[in-house]
Amino acid sequence: MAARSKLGKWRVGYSGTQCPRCRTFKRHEDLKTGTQSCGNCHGFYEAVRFDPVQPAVAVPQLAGVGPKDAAPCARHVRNQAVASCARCGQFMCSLCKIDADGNVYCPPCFDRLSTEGSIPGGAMRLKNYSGLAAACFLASPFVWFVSPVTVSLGIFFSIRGIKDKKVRGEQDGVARLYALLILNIFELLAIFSVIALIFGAFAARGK
Amino acid sequence: MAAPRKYLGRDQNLAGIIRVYLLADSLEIDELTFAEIERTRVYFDDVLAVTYHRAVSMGFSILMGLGGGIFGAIGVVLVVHKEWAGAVSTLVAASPFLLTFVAHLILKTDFITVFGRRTLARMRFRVRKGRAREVYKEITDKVRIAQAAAAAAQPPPPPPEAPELPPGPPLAANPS
Repeated sequence: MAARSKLGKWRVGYSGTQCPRCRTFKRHEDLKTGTQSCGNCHGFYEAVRFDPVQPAVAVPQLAGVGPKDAAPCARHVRNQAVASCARCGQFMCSLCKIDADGNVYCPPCFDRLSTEGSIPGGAMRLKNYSGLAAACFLASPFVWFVSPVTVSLGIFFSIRGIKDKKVRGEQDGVARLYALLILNIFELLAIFSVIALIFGAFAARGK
Repeated sequence: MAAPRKYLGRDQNLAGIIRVYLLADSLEIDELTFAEIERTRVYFDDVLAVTYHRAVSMGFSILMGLGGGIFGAIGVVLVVHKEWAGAVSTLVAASPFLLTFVAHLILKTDFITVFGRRTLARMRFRVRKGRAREVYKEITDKVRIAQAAAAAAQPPPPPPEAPELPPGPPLAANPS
């Protein structure tokens, strides 16, 4: 995941704690809570060190439960099933189950649904509708000969963005998308007005 | 429906903008490029360290310095040639750049970096230093709570296996 990032010097090859000033790798064990000085850049920074626990999942084994609770996991036959997949209904042990957006999925279903974009929380790459609509709005005056098309695209991207935000339940950026929608509509009206004026002038000259 | 999120701060570079949001259990990072948003998360129970530092942002300083320098130089040339109207307007145009440049050198930029196991989140605050402190405190508090809860939810360690007993003494021969 880290290597895919586009913005990033910071994230490419990320391997844990670094000096926030010069990005020199720092061993987590050497980091202390309080004011720190980097041995490389000699810059100071404040740090709070945390020692996260390694998650250990309790996996009940079939051998440890009575015959009434003896539903086995579909992938690990020795483990007791603790849930069933919300999509395919397969029994899963605690190693297999993935919690996403209030539902529990097995790994193949989670992969499939997040690839399809059916799990909003699982989507990693989204369209930047706001950026596309802004680009259409800003570019239209420079490509005036195709500006009705670009502005229409801007309106389309704004509407898609608003719908996308609604589906995801996100509030941030909605105002920007509405503003871009209005600006693109005004630009379209302005373009049609200019076209009408030009044709009107030609028509008047023809008479 | 995605979890509700609260905007915390942003970072910026030539490639695009990074926006950081607060979720109940993690920080969500949106990396905005022209056509795409790449979304990653740093979960609180995965955080290794949170840092706070103040530094001069080189890109911003160079941009403001260049803007102010170019307009200022033109203004000075116009003053030398006694073109007062042009000089005043150019120096007025240079002043916001120069003021921002000087203000930035004095105030500097506050950076908050959250290092997770697999990725990191970074925010910068140019003006709102109090807000930066608030965000830093909020993040560290949430991480502390999340990690304490994660530690408490750990299953108890399995009981130590019974040590292997040494072989017993050889059975005495049965007299009967």
